[in-house]
Amino acid sequence: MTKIAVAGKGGSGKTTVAGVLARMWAESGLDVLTVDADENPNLGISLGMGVDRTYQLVGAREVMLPDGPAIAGPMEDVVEQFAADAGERLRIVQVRKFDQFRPG
Amino acid sequence: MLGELEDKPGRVVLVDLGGGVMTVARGDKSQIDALVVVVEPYPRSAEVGRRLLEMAAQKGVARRIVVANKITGAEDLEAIRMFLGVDPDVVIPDDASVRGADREGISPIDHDPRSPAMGALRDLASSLVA
Repeated sequence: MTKIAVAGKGGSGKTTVAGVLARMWAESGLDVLTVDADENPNLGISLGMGVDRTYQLVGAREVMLPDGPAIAGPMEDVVEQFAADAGERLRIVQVRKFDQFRPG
Repeated sequence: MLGELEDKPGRVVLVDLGGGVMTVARGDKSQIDALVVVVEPYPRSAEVGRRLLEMAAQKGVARRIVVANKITGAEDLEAIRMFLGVDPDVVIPDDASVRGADREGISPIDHDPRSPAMGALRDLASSLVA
């Protein structure tokens, strides 16, 4: 299993890079799990999920902390609970829910 | 979170970190195999990139890949070399197709899978998981 992180200044294009890499790996036959940890989560759009579906993704952090139901158990269970399909062999876990009022 | 995932063969886990340096500052070196740092050819972007690379090195991240993005020519590349002190590993050309995808709210790979930027990313995708 390979674990890769993409980082950069906001607006540098890191989300585009991340989304396209994930698509390419999935299309090559790998099982790709993506995690959107950005405060302005847009990775779903770069994965090709569309704007509406991306903005409807649940934020795992908001559900788990601090007021949501606590989830005790292996991290794989958390992934199973929160991962949304973004295509064949391609899934996304979003850490924070998209907030249209959050400054970009 | 990443450190706790089961090691499944054939699986790639990719994290889009928040903008800036704090997410890497908080991270644990054992959690990632490679950090891809995306920089644009201007000082503020390169400064964030420089700090990310420095932190990743301190944390012992084995592979640190510098991606120069939205590059219009030799001057842009020279600017990144000057700001970072290293040559970028990957150069993604400025690409109207990527901007078009942004405008339409779709993935650039769906907009034009054969655009110059997608070609550069295909090379990066192969090198990262080869």
